[in-house]
Amino acid sequence: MSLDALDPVLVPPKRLAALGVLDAAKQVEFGFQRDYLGLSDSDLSKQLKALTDAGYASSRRTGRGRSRKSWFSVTSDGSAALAAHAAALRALVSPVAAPTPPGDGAGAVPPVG
Amino acid sequence: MESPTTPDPARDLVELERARHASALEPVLDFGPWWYAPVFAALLAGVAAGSYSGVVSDSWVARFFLLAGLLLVSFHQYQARRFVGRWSRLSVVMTLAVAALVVLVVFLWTLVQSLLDLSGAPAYLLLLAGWVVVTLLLLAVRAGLGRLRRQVWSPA
Repeated sequence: MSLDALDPVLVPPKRLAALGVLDAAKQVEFGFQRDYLGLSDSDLSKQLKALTDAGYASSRRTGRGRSRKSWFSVTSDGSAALAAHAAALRALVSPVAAPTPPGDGAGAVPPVG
Repeated sequence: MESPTTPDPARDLVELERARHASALEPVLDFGPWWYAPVFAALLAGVAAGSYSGVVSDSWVARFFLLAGLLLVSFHQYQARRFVGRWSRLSVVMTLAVAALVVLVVFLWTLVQSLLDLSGAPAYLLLLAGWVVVTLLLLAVRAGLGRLRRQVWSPA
């Protein structure tokens, strides 16, 4: 298994975490993700825009004025992409799932834990 | 164009699992603002009063406050919510645990009321003390959940 198996959209860790939060929820408000992922407004906007542009997340706005909120949720494409990306990550970190040919240690990553 | 990021599969996997785990636990760990505690304690007292065939069960005032409290909390929860979670096995287990706790507290309230003479002022003082105790218990639960919530959301 090589790094090519990873989804290039999900390679940035902040974007991956943002989609991970969305994947385990029905919908999440922008401010919540900003506060709990510890990102700035602009940084989170950039990550969520990349996810929506890729079709991995969808957004909708509710309320008016000060009560205006931006909600984000994962799409079915996003869930599938995240599952595939997570499987590729596991294969990269697990020597059992991705046996390395003898003498080919290049790019080997130690297992987690 | 975004600057390239060097993938670190082990780190990314840990962060992904942390984000998923924290997100899945969020509906269970979010107690709400502190003032939910005294309102919930009053609601529990109201339910207990309704389930006890004594003086308070026939009082429309108690039922009014019970309904008003439920509406207040429901409306505030809807307005202030920033996260809508999914049902998971864990959230079902936690909901059942909370339901069991509610039944236990209501049972204890009912038991206390059945042992007291509600016509006397001291009995009401004891009920007030019970409300304070339940409020403090709920505040302690809120503090514990808040600590756990900060732990699950903090980076590894």
